[in-house]
Amino acid sequence: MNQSVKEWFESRTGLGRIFHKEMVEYRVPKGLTLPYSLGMLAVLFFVIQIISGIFVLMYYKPDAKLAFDSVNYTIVQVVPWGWFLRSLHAVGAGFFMAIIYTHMFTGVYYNAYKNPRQLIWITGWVIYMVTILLVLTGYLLPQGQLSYWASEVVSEMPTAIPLDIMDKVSLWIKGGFSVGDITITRFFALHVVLLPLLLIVLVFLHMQFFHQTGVTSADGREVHGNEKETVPFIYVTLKEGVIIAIVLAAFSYFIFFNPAPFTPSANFAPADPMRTPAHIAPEWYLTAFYEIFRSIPGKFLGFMATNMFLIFLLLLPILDTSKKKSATKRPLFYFMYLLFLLSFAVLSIEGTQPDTAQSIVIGQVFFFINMLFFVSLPVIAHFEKKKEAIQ
Amino acid sequence: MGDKISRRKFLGRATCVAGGIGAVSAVYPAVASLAPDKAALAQSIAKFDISGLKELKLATIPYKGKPLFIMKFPAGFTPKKWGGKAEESINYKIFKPLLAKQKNVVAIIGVCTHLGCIPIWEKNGGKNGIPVYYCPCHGGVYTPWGDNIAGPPPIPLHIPKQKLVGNTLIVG
Amino acid sequence: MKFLRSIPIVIILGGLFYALWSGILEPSEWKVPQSAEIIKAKVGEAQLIKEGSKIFKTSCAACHSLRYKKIYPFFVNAPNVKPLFKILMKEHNGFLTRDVYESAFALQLEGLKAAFGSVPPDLSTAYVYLGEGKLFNIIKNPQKVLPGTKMPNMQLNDKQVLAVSAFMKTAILPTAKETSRRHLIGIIVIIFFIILAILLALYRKVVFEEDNIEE
Repeated sequence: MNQSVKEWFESRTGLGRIFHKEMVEYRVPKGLTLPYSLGMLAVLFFVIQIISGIFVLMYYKPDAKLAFDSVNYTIVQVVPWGWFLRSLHAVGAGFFMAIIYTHMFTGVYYNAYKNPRQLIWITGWVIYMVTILLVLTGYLLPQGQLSYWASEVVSEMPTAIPLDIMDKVSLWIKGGFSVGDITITRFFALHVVLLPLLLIVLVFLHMQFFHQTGVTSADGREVHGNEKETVPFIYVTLKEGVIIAIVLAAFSYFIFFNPAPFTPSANFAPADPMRTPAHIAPEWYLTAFYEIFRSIPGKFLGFMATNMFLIFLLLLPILDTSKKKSATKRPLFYFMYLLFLLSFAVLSIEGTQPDTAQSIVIGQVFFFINMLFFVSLPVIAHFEKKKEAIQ
Repeated sequence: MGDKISRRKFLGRATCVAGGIGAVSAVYPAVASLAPDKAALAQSIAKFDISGLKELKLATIPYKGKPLFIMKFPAGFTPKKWGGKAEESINYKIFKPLLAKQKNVVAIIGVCTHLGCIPIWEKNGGKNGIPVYYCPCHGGVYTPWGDNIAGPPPIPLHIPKQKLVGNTLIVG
Repeated sequence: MKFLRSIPIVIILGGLFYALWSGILEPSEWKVPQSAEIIKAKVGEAQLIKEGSKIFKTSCAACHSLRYKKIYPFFVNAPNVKPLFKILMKEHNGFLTRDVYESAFALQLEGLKAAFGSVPPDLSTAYVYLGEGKLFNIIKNPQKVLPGTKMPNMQLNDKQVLAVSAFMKTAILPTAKETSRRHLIGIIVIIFFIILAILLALYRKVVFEEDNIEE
């Protein structure tokens, strides 16, 4: 009976075969470690965001005067378990961004952007951009002081480009002279409908692309299609399960004991268009850009410098001309990679601090180090080729 | 070997059971969040001052988000006008002691038991000139104490728990 | 060797997330004085909340609302305002949303604005965005923290200030009982995930061994 029902569906849908091929039989290299689980973790947290998002959406009111109370009173204090759903969504967003960044830096470490994986890297980059738009639009919704001023600043960003039309672009984004009701409803629509849908499609493409080209082994060898060096994916899910359980335990700590780092206290003040808070900084996942923006003199120059990081990230497949994959086999690259990572961490941390003369110097120095990594890539490749030729 | 296979099976099952418990308990907060909150449940009590009521004139107040029909009946009210068997109905058995206890005032939930429309009080009567509740949606007819006497409604109108304290009728 | 190479990366990323999520980057400027902390420990939170509720309703509520606790400024008791206030309270179960509150009492709020330069803000979430230290100092001596403010010094002693602060905390943060309930659930959930991780690890080991899968 059970078997015939299965066959009835299988002969009509073929879904079981696809699932079996992609999730069970699909082969991945042996010896995969923690960093390789980050993709699956990111998907898990995306699902958590969607589910918790649907539930907070049931009580949230996208209105300049009602939004703040609907979050801080209705959801958190009135709805049974509403505090849990809200924490889930807020802490989940932080974890999601942390995993995305770590996943991205892992990709850089293993040179996952190289031929034939350029499209995986590019879709990943687009996912990163869409995720940033998601967190930015979502950040406006609670209508706290930080929400308001973050949105105000972000929608003023285009005016950094010295063209007359950019003032109009900024107005167009906000739908008015300041962030108001109309901005909230449009950001809301983007946050709950357009961007998540886009992200689902992009994640599917991203996964299809890496299933097509396969993953390199940890030391950078191409083993896709090699039976001896790979194992079926289903075995790896067990291994990833352990990591997922541990990450969820850490996640639970923040939800039940300490959600404060993910719900900044300044955002508990209702939005006030007439007064900017004395100390204002974006959330940690954007503080690196913020630090660059404020330490590079000149509005336009600062804006361009901020975008350099993103543009260079996209151009990695072109910049890194070396044929070798994985930092484990490339000592020079490994050294520069550590500097890159360190500069990103320092910029991120310094960006959360108040604006001082010292923070401007730190910003400039570490921005320079950060850029040095990207610029040095062709040089490193050149040295590596030379060394190979000698051997 | 046999020992090992059972170990594998045991661990596999234990993991599945633990995962299952986790999944089910994750559903709980989501389901619980949909339940009505304290403020919504607070609406389950309605209070009404009956001193201003006039005989056979309908007063309507909200109760649990639905209308509550409150009516003062004439002293010595009998159901004879509405047919001989009325006194045997379940609703009348609830209704009669309430009349005596509550200075002839009784509250009935004004929601048609057919498909939830609000019946209209026809004081001057339908066909026979007898006062009835008439539901406009599908033509259900109820007696003033809520018995369904014509049309599609399957059961009488509901009489909620109520008591009179001083001149205040407390329902719920 | 492979293991060694990952250590700096773990240190950098681990350090980054520790710095960001442990709260060490947000030192607070204002502190509750040591002497007040002693009073707080002696009197106990429950007693403070009780007293704070009374003080808030008699002193602070002259100008400020605390809508999350269903407390509104004194002007709602004026004879010409009270009937409207009563109807609204009944309609909204005591909690007036901002749009209703600000529209219905626009005239009265405008009056407060004329007297104080700006509308005294609703204090429902103030405990969190000011922080305990800053809130204590504002109540104790408004001029010290907010120079030029027209908020009068209410001449409260340390214990009374602590009481008001403890009461305002209940408007936005869960009570001590609720917090410990959440912690208990949290402990259970974390233990569950640890057990799940151990089970999965054991199961994986057996499966890998039996099916001859190399790590």
